[in-house]
Amino acid sequence: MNKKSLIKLLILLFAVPLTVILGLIIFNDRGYSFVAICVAGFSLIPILLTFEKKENNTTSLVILSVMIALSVAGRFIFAFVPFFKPVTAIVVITGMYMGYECGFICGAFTALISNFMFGQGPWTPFQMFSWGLIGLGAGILGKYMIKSRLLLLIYGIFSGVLFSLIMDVWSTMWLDGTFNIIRFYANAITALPVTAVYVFSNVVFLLVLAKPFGKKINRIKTKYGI
Amino acid sequence: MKKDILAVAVLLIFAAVFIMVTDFQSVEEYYNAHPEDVKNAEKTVTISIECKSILKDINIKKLDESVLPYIPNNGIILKKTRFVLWDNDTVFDVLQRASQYKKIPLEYQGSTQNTFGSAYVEGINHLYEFSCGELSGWSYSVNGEFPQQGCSSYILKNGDNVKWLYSCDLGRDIGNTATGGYNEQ
Amino acid sequence: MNSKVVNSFGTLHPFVLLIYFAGIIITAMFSMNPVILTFALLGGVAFMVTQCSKNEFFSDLFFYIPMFLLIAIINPLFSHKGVTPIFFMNGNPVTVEAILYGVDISLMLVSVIYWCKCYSKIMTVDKFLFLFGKAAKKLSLVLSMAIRFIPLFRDNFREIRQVQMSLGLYNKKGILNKLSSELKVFSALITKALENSADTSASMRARGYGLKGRSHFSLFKFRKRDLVFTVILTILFSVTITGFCLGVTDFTFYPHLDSLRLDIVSGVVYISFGIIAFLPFITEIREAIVWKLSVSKI
Repeated sequence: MNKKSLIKLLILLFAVPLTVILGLIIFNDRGYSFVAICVAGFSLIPILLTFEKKENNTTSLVILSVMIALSVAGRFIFAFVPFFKPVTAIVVITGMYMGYECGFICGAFTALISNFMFGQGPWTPFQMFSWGLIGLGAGILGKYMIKSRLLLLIYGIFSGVLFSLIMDVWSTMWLDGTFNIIRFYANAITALPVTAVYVFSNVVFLLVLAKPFGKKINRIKTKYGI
Repeated sequence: MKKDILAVAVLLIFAAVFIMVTDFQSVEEYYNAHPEDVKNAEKTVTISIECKSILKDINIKKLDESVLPYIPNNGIILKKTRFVLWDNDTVFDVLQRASQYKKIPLEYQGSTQNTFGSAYVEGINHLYEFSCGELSGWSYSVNGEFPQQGCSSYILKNGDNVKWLYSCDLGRDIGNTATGGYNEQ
Repeated sequence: MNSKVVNSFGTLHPFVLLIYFAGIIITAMFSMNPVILTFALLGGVAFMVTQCSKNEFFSDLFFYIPMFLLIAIINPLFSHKGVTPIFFMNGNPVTVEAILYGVDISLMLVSVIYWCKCYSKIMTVDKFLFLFGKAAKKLSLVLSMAIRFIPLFRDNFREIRQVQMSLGLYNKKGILNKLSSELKVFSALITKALENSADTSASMRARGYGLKGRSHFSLFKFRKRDLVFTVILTILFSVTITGFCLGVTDFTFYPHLDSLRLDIVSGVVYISFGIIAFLPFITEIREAIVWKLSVSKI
């Protein structure tokens, strides 16, 4: 590693604990939510750096943009049914066919960009984190999911639940400053119908889109050589 | 518009169910309960509530400033008082009645609301868990021993002596050997 | 006030905008002091008034006022601390302090949301990409392409939909049928998008993307005005944060309500935060006044 990247890495390593400590000093009881935001934000950075360093060829970059655009557009198109989003499905598919970094980036930046139009908020780093994580997992489990449709659907259900869970943890922390377990239960239970619709939408979209997507992406891969 | 009306309707239904299910009392009603006459009772128990451990020098510093006005000078929130014991009364039932009769603020989590399956006493007289450092909290003893059950699981017998004690050191300073302390009293 | 004619705060350099919004949102999120939160809320709402149309503003209000009240009322149901009970519910007291704490939390939530809305209006995607472009070239390329594709795909979607409608796709009623029709169109959209992407990438490579030596286009200049704002913000934020660290703005609700510290030190802290909160609003108003004056002179 040359000097520049070493310095960058050191800054990163120190920035994280420094922000955490600063946060706890300045913001006494609400320190926990500050730490949570910072952790969510900082966890995005190493993967972004890996993405930059890696040699990606133009076609896969373009496909990645297309996937992000499709999931954002999808969020708009299906906005008439609340909480019914093709985002997770597209993120999972991107992860499956393009590797875990692309999956992560697709997830994280769909959150960021669609929030520009749906409304930014302190929930943005958490949505980026959850969807990115879902894309990451899909990338790692990619091979198995292509073979087994059942595994794909299970992952769809699991990611729906995971996303809701992370957002519930976040809203509990934000409202109280610390983690109040009663409020968490209350949040999780009131969010159950939302989670159910969300999981349902994941399953539906995955069922409908997975195979066709796969075929098209593979075709482009072989045709243009990635 | 339809969605909004639907949302409002759902909210109203929730509110109605909530109001029917909960028991509302005004402040006077709640504190108006009178203790039954102890002299003619078949079965009685005694209960006391103390927070003397806070008065020690090392602990006073850790105390949350806002709670200070609510700590009695001698550390005794409720001196040993005799109450009538009804059948199947648990430690928690007696504590709740005592706090109602003596107008001592009590905050608790009902047994259905936590993972222990038993009522959890969060605070007595505005003194809560962690109000005096990370190792502080309430525990109770019956006849000098610290039961390892939730207070709404322990059923009392005639003549039992209940003590609610505030510890600033995970039980060590009040003799709760179960949590790793020795009997100082 | 139409934001198209007068948009003064948004013309600042993106870096200044970023530290402003980050600073005010973080400060509001992590402070429990009612004075600070009220200033934050009023500043955010005032700025929002200058940025959006009357209809938008009032429809937002109709949503956020009930939300505000709802959160304020929910808190006493969960938290029973506090010395002044109003009535008892299942044996636990509903106290004045808990209600006020709920109001405080509502203040915080609504003000953060309003500032986030202002952020969305001001910090457009190109400014955001400008800030992060240097650090992440590939990423900013991916993002700018994605952003370019989004409206394109929406138009494509409408086209495909219209063609399918004329071919009889959306005939049956009911939400399930609508859903399945939309799904079919969406699927067609995906095919079209992916096929086009291959062409796009080929043309990019033909024009030399990815070769060494390509320069980066920079749209925003850092002007004197930006420097002035940066200095003012640094001073005001430092004063506010020092106040936080010194505990000047500490405020507890339980067991009894704290009394607000009102002396010179706290006054300075509150006033500096007040200025920060209203700065965008003041900027816009000043610009509007100058504009109206100049127009009237023509």
